[in-house]
Amino acid sequence: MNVLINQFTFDFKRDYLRNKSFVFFNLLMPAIFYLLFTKILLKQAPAEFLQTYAISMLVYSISITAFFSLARLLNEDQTNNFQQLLTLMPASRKSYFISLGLLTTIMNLTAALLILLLAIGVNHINITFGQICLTLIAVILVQIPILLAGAIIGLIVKSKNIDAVGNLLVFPLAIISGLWWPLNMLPTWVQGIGKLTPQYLMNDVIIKVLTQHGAILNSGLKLGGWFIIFMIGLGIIEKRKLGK
Amino acid sequence: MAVIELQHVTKKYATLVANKDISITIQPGELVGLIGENGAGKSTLIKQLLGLEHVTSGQINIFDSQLGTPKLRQLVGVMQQTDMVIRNVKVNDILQWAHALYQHPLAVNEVLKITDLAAQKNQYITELSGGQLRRLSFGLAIIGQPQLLLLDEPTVGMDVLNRKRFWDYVRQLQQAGTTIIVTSHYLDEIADTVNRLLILKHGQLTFDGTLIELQQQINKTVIDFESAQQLGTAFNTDQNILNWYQLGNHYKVEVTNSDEWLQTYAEQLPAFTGLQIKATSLTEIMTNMLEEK
Repeated sequence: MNVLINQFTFDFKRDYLRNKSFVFFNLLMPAIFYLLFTKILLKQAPAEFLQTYAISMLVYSISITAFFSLARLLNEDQTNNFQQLLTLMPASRKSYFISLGLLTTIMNLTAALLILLLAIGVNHINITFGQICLTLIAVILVQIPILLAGAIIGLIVKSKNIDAVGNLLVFPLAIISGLWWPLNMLPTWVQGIGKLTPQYLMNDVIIKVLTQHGAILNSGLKLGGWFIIFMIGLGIIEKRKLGK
Repeated sequence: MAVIELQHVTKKYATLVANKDISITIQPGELVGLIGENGAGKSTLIKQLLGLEHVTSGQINIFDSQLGTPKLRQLVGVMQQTDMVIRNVKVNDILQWAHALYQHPLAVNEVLKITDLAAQKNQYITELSGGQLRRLSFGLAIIGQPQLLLLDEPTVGMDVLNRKRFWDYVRQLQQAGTTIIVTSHYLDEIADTVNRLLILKHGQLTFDGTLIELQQQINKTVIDFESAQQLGTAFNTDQNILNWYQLGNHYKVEVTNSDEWLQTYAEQLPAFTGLQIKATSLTEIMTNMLEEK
């Protein structure tokens, strides 16, 4: 436990408190998009849109955390030998991964709170304290598969390509999963693919939890499938790395 | 109990043999220099000692423990060849992090003092110079008060004063009982510091002993002096002389037996000024070894 607390204190300082790109990409960018679309481009948008679009921007922020923040951090730690140092000192690689998991969860919860507060404060959406709590719990659970995907990207992609791969994943996936504009505006075959993406599934679950409307079982099970796939992938990569 | 015991260690890659049948025993408190040309297998050997590379055949024992176990990591300090440059982390942060990992660590302020990094305590690692980064890596290696210290090219990028301080501290650690293995291409520093040399060539251990033993094995002494006399004709026929060089009045003569040479030239000796008889330096020995490829 002490090893984990030590690791988390170290990671929290370097990648939360002192990380300017987290503030800009994970917090400000989704918040600015939310305000841009709901206050400037679409004046007098219906309350339902103001609510669901807040969740879309929240899921967009979670994607950025996974494919930019986490992937880049893991990639850098690999390149700059920090991960090797973990294996040479009495540190624990398991604690390191748990610490990064906690860190990214806090990043995502911060983004979720910011977006929900904007929805309440700026767009006057009625969300109760209970709904906020349920939404945050949903965020903690549904983020796991995509964080695992981000970890895989961080461990297998070469450092010179990490930003390009992040961009190639975050933006196209945001479009085909319906985060930026409604999915029914896209061709039918794209919609089919889009509905299988973790981003669409996360969006679907969180909206249903927030609005307390509709069953989450179907999307939840599909997310569980993604979790198993990414967990197996990460397990194989770790086994190969440690077996070298 | 030996600190390190390597028995017939061989490491083969697809088309390359990095280490071939290496057997070494290192006792507590030894300060060992591991040297050899680039690609001789030094780094592979260090990685094997750290459990970062598996051996193809043979056996490695360190403190009679299994490689890579938490118990062993408490006992071994490592200064890797490449420094770690992490974003958004201050010198003090990484030392505090490392301090919390060990059972009997040195105080962070003590490490900052030893490494002369107290002034950089609150500086980001990314802002440190090359020499400062090496000293930070050294600080991370010693913070756990290890019983075995592995130093891979430790003084690259350090200025003269910090090199001196570094080697002084390494000697202090050895005197306190720490076993130390160091690799370096700065052979003068190795020659001045270690009490045992391991020389690797093409992955094989070609020498294991002291510098004096190596010099005796090489059987060559260098004599420097100045003389106005023309000695070339005599030197060319002298069987004792291996090589000789002349620059103006300055002569440098390499002989197999310096006593015999002194007797041969006893009559001329009073005319030789600045006479110096030196054993072959480690740098010269290694240069010759490399030239004998």
